[in-house]
Amino acid sequence: MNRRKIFLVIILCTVLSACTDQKIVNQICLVHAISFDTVAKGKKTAVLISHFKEQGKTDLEVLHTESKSYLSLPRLNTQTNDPLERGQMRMVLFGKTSAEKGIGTVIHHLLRDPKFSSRLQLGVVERDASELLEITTKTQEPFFLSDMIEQNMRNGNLPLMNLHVSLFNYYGEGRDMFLPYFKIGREGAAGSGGHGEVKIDGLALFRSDRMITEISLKDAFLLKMLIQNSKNGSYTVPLAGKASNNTNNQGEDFILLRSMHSKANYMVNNVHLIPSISIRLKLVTELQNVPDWVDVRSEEQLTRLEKTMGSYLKKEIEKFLSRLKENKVDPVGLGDLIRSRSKNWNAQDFEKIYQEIKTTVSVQVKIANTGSG
Amino acid sequence: MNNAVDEKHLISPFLIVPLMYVSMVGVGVLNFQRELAEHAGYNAYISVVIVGISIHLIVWMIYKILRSNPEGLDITAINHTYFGKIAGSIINFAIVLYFFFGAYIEFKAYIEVIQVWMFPSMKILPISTILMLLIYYTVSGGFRSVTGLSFLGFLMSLIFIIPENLPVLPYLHPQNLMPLFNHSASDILLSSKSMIYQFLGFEALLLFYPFIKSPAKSQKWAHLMVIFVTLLYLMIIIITFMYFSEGQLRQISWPTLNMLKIIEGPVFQRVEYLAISLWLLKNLSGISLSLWAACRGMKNVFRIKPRASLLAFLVGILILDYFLKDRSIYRWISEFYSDVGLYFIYGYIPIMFVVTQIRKMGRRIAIE
Repeated sequence: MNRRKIFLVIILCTVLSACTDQKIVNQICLVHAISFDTVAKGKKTAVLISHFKEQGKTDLEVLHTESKSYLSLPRLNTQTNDPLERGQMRMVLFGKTSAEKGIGTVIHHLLRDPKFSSRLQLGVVERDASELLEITTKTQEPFFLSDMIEQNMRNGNLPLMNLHVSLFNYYGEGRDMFLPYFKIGREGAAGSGGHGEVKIDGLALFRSDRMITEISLKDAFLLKMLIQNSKNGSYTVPLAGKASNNTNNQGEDFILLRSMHSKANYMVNNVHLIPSISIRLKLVTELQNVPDWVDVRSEEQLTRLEKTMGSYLKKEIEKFLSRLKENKVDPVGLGDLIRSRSKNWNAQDFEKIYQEIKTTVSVQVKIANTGSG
Repeated sequence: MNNAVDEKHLISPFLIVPLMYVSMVGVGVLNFQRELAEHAGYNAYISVVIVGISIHLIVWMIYKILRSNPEGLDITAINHTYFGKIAGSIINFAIVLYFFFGAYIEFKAYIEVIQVWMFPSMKILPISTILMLLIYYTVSGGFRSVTGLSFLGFLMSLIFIIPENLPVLPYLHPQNLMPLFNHSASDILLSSKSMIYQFLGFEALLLFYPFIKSPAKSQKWAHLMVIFVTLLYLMIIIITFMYFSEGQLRQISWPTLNMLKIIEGPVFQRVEYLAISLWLLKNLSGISLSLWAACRGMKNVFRIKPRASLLAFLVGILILDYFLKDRSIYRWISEFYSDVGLYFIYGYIPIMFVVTQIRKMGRRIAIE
């Protein structure tokens, strides 16, 4: 009996000892998003914090600071009554100019600090990143931007991205990082209600820690198809040839397709000198929209459509790949692919031959569903 | 020199399962991947298999050694009979120290995880003292209560180790494991050396063997656990290698915990805090087992009461913990420990195996 009491006391002590380092949610200031910009005098950091007033109501506020280096979270503490806590951070934004100058220090910090979730989203903003934070305050939703990205990864053209994926690409040899690219619409667009002005406009492609170029959402779909299952992405294929009989919808001759499933197969030949890669893509689609002169009930026309879409996608992917080579960026991970097939591989050697690698693409499209029309 | 163990202190052969588990899976499971990949890169999973197989051999030898004495005594008694009183005692004392430092290293490694991941500014002495009390309670309760805690620790750590691997599945890149063999055999052996460190601890079997009821029956469980733990390590290492790119893994100190960061539940947004807390039980049981072995050794060698030596060991750990603030000394101790462990397993045990077998053969010839 006595023994049992002692045991109980010890157990309770163990539990209580976790009460050091308390962080009560009312007494801390949660940082939801942070942005990094380059300004004339140095670097500007802004954080999005929230004040929880009552259930369901949040006031968002943006705090700014300027200093010589990034990561001046401690400096921002001088502007709040409660300590800033970064454990709930979901979004890290970089202004385009700072992304072009290199964001390696920030990335390294995100890796080192155990407080950051692996599901954190990163992003690049066309103009000032802090401006984007200001816009989000109007939405009253602290996770507006990260939810927007996640929604677009599930239901749109964005490939799977988060802090873990970006670190994987950044530190991994033979692959490069890519981040969502935000665009801010015209300021004070009439009646936009506040949040219509932010949009994801594609992907920012990096070489090492510097942003090199950006691609459109259309190309983002191609990238998604090349690296993973492109489920739910959509793409428009122009349909040339037969002019529309119906004069009402001029220039509307395109197919809007939605991917239901896709798979990419890579074959590497001639590993030793200059490798050539043949990529075979299989895409199962659903037709969202077709010109009215296409008869979706006719098998023959559908096979012709499948062929047209296949050859169009092939052409576009080839164009996309050659654009990547031109910019010397490798978001697809072709370097890693060749590494996995060769005994001796190193990143420097590969960089030299990257532009000379031959890639051949073949796309096989299958229409699974033509809609109810 | 010592009597056979009283019936009421014995455990059934099956219960060797949690004991083997807690002794072979240490805090190292949270961070062994990085060190392992240092030499053999992403071929290091081969090292896990090699070490697993060699451990089988050692476990088999341990059983042979212990079975060679008909009285069913532990290794300290065997040392006494083979090496004489003085040399035997020195060896036994070395074994005691070995287990003591094993417990200390395990403890320190866990405290480090708590400091980095959960409470960076926490004072170490109060929490250590409380944990020491818990260990004192367990070990002073005898071998059966150590077994009981081990069983809890075994369940608790399985609860999170296996399910943690499911949510990371969408992020795996099987391509990382290719090409299959691009490192030399010497690299793979170097990696194996750091893998052995993870398995260290199962030598406690040398001391708790007399506590198993019908020990011969426990051998199959011991081997089964070696297979299980090897597969567990293999699973973790392969998933880690597919989850992190090689450059990324080089930057990460606790890959297993880092993998947990991707899991997001409806209530728990960060599972690693839960996992570290659950890991406490597993860790305490590992420490308790090592300390129990050390105390048992002290009792056999110097006839010191286990409680007295236990108190001395616990205070010793607290003192080491409190005064050794310098990480480099701790590093040095743990490296030294793993080197000693290497010789202990692959030197001492095979030698004892040969000696006992020759002796046994000699005895048989003498009888004939």
